[in-house]
Amino acid sequence: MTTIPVLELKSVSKNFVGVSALKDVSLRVNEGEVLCLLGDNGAGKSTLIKVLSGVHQPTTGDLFVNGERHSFAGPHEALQVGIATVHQTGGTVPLMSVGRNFFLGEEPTKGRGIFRHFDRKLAEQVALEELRSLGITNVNDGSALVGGMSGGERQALSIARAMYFGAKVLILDEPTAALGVKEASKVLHLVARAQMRGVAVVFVTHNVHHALAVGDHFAVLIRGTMADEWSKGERTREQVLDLMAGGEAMGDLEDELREIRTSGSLVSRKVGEKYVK
Amino acid sequence: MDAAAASIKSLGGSVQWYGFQNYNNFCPDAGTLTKTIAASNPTVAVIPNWCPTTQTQYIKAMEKAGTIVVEDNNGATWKADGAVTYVGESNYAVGLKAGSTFIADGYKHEVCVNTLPGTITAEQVCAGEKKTTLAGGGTFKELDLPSSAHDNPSAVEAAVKGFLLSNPSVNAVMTIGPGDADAAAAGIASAGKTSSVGLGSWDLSTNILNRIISGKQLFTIDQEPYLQGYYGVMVGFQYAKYGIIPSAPIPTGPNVVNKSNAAQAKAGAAIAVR
Amino acid sequence: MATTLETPMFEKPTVKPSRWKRGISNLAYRPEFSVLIGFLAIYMFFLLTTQPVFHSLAGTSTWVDPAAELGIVAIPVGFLMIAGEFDLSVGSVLAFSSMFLAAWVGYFHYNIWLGLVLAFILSALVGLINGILVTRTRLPSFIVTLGTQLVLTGVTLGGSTLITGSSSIDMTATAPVRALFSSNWNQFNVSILWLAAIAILGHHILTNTRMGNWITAIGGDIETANRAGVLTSRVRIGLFVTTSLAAALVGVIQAVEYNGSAASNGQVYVFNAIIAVVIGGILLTGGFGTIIGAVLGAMTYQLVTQGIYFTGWDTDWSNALIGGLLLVAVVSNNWFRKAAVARGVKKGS
Repeated sequence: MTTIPVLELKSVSKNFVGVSALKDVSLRVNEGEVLCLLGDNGAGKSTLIKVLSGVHQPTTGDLFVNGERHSFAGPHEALQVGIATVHQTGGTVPLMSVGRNFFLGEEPTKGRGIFRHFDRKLAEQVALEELRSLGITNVNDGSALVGGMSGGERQALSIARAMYFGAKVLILDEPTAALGVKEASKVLHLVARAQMRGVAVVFVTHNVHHALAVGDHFAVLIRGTMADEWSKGERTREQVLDLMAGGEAMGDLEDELREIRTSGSLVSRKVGEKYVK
Repeated sequence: MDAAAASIKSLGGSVQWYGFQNYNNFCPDAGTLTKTIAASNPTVAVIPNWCPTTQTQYIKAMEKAGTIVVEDNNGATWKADGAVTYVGESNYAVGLKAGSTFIADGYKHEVCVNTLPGTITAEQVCAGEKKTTLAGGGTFKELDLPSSAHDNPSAVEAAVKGFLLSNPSVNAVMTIGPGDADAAAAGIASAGKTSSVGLGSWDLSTNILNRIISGKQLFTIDQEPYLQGYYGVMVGFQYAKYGIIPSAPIPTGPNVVNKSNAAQAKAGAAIAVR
Repeated sequence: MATTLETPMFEKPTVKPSRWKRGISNLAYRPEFSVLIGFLAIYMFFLLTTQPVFHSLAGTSTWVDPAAELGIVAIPVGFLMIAGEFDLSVGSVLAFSSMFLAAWVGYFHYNIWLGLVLAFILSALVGLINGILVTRTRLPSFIVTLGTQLVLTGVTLGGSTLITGSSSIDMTATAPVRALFSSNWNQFNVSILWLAAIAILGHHILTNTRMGNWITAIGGDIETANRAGVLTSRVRIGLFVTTSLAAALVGVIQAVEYNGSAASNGQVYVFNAIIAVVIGGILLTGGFGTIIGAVLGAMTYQLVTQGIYFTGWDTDWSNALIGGLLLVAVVSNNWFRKAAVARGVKKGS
C-alpha cells in the first residue's frame, strides 16, 4: 500500500475508570473506500466512533488524518479536518424544513449589516440538488418538513449535508439499524454513492448482510479488541456470521435448540391446551 | 402599626405582625395564617375574620387555649366567634355609605366592580351599595372580573371601559381597592366619560386623593386602617393587662372623603396616620 | 442485498403544482392559519351576539389594548417555548420593574429616566440568572424559573414594605415618559406600537435570520443543534434576558399608566402568556410555532375576555370559555401540525 490513508488509528487504547473499552486497535481507511466496522452490542463500537469523531481522546495510541498526527479537543475539531459523523437518530430536526435542516449552523446569508438575512431560497435549492445527487428524487419541496420524510431519506439528508460541507471521512453509526428492508437498501445506495465521490466511509453496523453488500474492507471488534480484519472476498458469509456470534458459542446454541425441539419431555402441552391436573 | 407597637413596648409588651404572601388563594391562606398565629400562642391576637369558613375554627381554638381575640377590619361575626370586641367598620356599611353618597350626589345608575368575586368582603360592599342605591331610586349592576384579571390593572381598565360602553346609562362606578380605583379611573377616562361618570372607592391612596382634589373622582370611603390597628392592639393589650375594655365595638368608619376634606386627608397620609 | 444495489435509483419526477395552488396550500399549512380562522370565528360570534358598540373604535380598543400588553410578554415567551424552555418568572419581573420604578420616582423622587434604565438593567439581570442557571444546571427551566419567580416575588414584596412601608406605591411620570409608555390616540394605547415593533422584529428574527433557525432547532432537537455547531446555551440565555426585558417593559407601561404599582401585580401574566402562545399554535414542547401565531393568540385571548362584557352575560363564566378555547385550540393546532408534516410525504408520492 503506497497510498496515505485518509484516516488511520495506530494501536489505540481507551480506558475509562477501571474499565478498558478499547485495547490496541489499529485501522485505516482510504479515499473512496468503505470500511465496515462489525461488532455485537457492547463490543466497543460506540467508543471507537467517539474516538474517531473527536468526542473521546485515546488513552494511548495515535490518530492520523492524511498522514498527519492529530489530537482532537472535541467533535468540532474533527469536523474541521473533514471527519463527519452521522448518528443513528439521523441528526435532523423533524419539525424544520429540508432547507433549514441542511444548513443548520452554516446558514447562507444575503445582504449586509442589519439587512443580513437567511437566504431561504438558496438553502432549499441547494438542499434539493444535493439530495438528488444522492439519488433521492421524490423529495421536491425544500420547504417541506423533514418529519414527513422516511428514515432513509433523513439519513440521506444528513449524509448530503456532511459531504456538502467538505467531509472527507463519513462515519455512519448504525444507519440501517432502525430501518425496514426497503429503507435500509436506500441507505446502502447512499453509501455507494458517497464512496463513488471519493469519500472514505466508516460504516458501523452489526448487520453482516448490509456490511458485505457495500464494504471494501472489514474489521470485527470483540470485547474492545480487533478480532479479525480482511478485504472484500477473503471470507465467506458463514465465516463472518460465525465470527460475529463468537464462533463456538453459535454452534453450542444450535445444539441446544435442536435438543429442545427433539426431546418430548420438555414439552408437555401444545399452545392453547389448558393445563388440567 | 408602628405607633401601636411603640406604645405597647413602652408598657412592657411586644407586637408581632403577620401578613399574606399574595391574595391568589385568599380564604385558604387566611385560614392557614390564623392557624399559624394560634400555634404561636399569643396573649392577645388582633385578627380580621375575612373568611369565617376557614378562620373561625382557629380563632375559637386559640380562645380555648387562653388567647384574647380582638377582631379588626372585618368582624361581622365577632360575637359568635367569641372575640372580646371589634374595631373597624362593617363592609356592608361601607357599601351602604357608597350607595347613599352616589345617590345624594345625583349619580343614580351604579356599577360595583368586584375584582375578588367569591370573597365575602367584596360581596358585602357591593350588597350594601345595592341596597341604598335601589332604596334611593337608582339602578344597580355588579361587574365580576375573572381571576385572570386579578392584580392586572390593564384588565380592570379594559373591563370598566367595555362595561361603560355597552351600558351607556351607567354613571357611577364603585371599586373595592386603591389599585382598582386607579385602573377604573383610566377606564372611565379612555371611554371619554370622566366628566359624566362618578367614581367611588374604598380606602385611601395618594392617587385617589389627588383625583378627588382635581375633580376626577367623586369620593372614597375611609375605614381608618391606622385607627383599626392602633385601637385593636391597644384594646387587646389593656384588656389583657388591666381588664378594662370599651363597652361596645369601636366603629372606625365608614367616613366619606370627598373634595371638601381630601386636602386634610392628604396631610394625614403624609405622616402615615391615614 | 447485492442485487438491489444494481437497480437504478431514478424515479419519475412528480409534476409540480401551479404556483397559485402552491401558494394557497402553503398558507393553509402555516401554523398560524388555524389560529387566524379561530380568531375570525370568535370575532364573528361576538359581532352577532353583542351591541354595535363592540366593533366601534372604542369597543375594539378595549380588547386590543390589553392584548398589546399581553402580546409584548407572549412574543418572547413564545420564542422561549419554541426553543423548548419556559419562563414562569415574567410575573414577578413585571411586578419588580413596576414597583422599582414606582419607588424610585414616587418614594425617593429620583430622576425617572435613570429609574427606567435601572429597572430594565436589573430585570435583564434576572433573565441572565435564569438563563445561566438553566444552561449550567441542565434542570428544567420550568423549575428554575418557578424558583426565581418566587424569590423575586418575595424580594419585591419584602423590599417594598421594608423600604417604603407599603406594598403599593403611587408615582407620577413626567410628560415625555408618559408619551413613550402610556399615550393614547383616539382610543388606542401606545403599547400597540410597542407590540407592532416587537412583533415585526420577532417575526423577522424567527423566519429570516440564522438566529431564528437556531432557536427552532434548539427546541426541536438540542443534540442535533449542538452537533451542528449552534451555541445552544448562549442563544437560550439571550432568550431569557429578552423575556425579562419584555416583562419589564409591560411593568413600566403599567406603572406609568396607572400612576404606581402594587407588589402583587403581574402574576396573571405567567399563565396568560403561556395560554396565549399555545392558543397561537406554538408547540408546548418546543421546535414549532410562529410569532404571528403568538400575537393572534394574545388577541384571541383578550377578545374572548373582553367580548363577554359586551354580551351582557354573567362574566363569572369567562374563565370557562377561555379554558374551552384553549382545549379546542390545542387539538386543532395539533391536527394542523400533523397535516403540515404529512404534506412533505404526500407531495412526493
